[in-house]
Amino acid sequence: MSFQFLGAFLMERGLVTKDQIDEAAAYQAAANRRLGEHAVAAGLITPEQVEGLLEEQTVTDMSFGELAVARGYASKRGMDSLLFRQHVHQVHLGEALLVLGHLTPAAFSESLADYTAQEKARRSALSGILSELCGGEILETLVGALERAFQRFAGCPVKVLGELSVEDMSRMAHSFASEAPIQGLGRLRFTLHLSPEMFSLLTGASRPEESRRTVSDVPAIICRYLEQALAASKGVKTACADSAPQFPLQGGDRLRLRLACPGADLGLTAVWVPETSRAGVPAR
Amino acid sequence: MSENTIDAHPVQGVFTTETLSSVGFGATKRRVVQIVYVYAEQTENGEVSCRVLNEHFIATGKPRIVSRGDLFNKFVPAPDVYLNKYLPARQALERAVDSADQCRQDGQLFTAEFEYKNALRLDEDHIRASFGLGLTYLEHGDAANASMVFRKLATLKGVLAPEFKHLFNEFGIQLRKNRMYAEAVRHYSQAVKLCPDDENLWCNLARALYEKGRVRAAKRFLDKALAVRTDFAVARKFKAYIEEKSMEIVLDDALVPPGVESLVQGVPASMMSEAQTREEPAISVPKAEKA
Repeated sequence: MSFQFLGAFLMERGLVTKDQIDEAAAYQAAANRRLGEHAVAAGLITPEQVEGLLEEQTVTDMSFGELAVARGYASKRGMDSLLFRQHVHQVHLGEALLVLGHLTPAAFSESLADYTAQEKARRSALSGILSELCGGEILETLVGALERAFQRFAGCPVKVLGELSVEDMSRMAHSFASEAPIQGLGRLRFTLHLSPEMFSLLTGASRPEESRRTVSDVPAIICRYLEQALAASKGVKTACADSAPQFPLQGGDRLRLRLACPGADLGLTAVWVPETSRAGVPAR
Repeated sequence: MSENTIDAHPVQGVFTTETLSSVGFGATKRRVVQIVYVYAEQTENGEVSCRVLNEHFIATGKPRIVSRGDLFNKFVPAPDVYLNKYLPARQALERAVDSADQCRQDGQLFTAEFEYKNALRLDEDHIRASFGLGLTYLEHGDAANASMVFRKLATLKGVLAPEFKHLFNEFGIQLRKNRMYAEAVRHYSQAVKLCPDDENLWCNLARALYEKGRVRAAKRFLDKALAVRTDFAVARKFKAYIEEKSMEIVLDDALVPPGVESLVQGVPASMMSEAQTREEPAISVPKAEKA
């Protein structure tokens, strides 16, 4: 797996072993609780309400806390206190490695600074790639919607690693296509290509609320999130300089990205279909 | 012990009581005795503030006010728990926060975060640890987490107590330096409600508003600072500075097409960046912040 994840980054530097990372991950899994669990433990909301909110997240692109406040189950102040509690009790990988005695604070601090710089460069590079494309904001929004959906329904913090190669794609046997209409401008067709590991992660999710979803639900959820995020934004910029690469405002071009979370990866391919292309005249 | 003897000594210590509750259902239903410890402290008006001790023997949650009579009727003093559990736990917690503060001062931000979180796991409402964690995030520019700590601090009582005043001000300064102007304004707005006679708070509120682009409001609050202390040199200099800048903008407005930039909406972005770079030597506001 890519060294763009902290555990792999530390292994790459020879600071920890794979077994130590696995041990730390197990420690984290045992210690960390989701916001809904904290809310029930605090007597703020009922388990049934948690179920309802998780179900609602498949159609509404809002965080669990925002939804609980919007539905009147909790006050904003109460939810803020719970978020603080969750944050304070959240064990991160670095902390788990320290507690287990696999790393020293000094060694970790030094690596963390380098890792943070690398992450910043990665985000900047991605933003650069997308901003160069005409209509890149739609793609950026699509990537954001995908990240949120995978985090919520697979417990999988995916991030973009780079371009998806043909070789990568050949490993990804499961494909799920979808299409989202964008503000009357056209349609964004995208396909998720899942590696066997990602497919297993989605189908065998450890949490009951995740396993209720079938893998094929995920593209539909992403579509809804995309539409809501674009509707909430100030509108999509459609005027592009002639020199800009014509994606996605001209048909035919295809975006290929490789994304991953620790232990599993997926591909995202997308193509823009302008509204007027059915009549044979591309929209500009 | 006579009633007079009790009155002569303000209550402070750990008290305990036993509660009986039912657990389980049907054939497995049984009654269990639970021991509850509270830390009780007498307030100035003679009432007693009680907070439950958690599993680490740290007082947590909202205080419950009871009369002395109720306390002695319903609870039994537990001096052994106070001496052997409560005080050592409290001291260990304070030492952990001291160590975290030292790490933060030494620039070991990751270790500081780790230590502050450890302290907050024992006492979620620990004011110094909350400030420390927030300042740690602000020092490495983590606005999202700093904002979450900021919201927590807004719910805690006692953040403006004299022993936390320097942390309060430092937090406000860091919010502003991280361009979290809305939070900085809320931070100081909350403070001036509690301490309307503190001219430094009014001045710092004015500065946060000014940097947010709300020039008129900034001037109004500088007037409030000067109403509290007429010889407050920092506020005077700051006000003169704003008036001078406003005059420049008015003059500039006569040269630029209408609607491009409006003084009413606040200082234009171009002017703001210039103001920020020139502000520090011009008005010496940091002196007010530290006061």
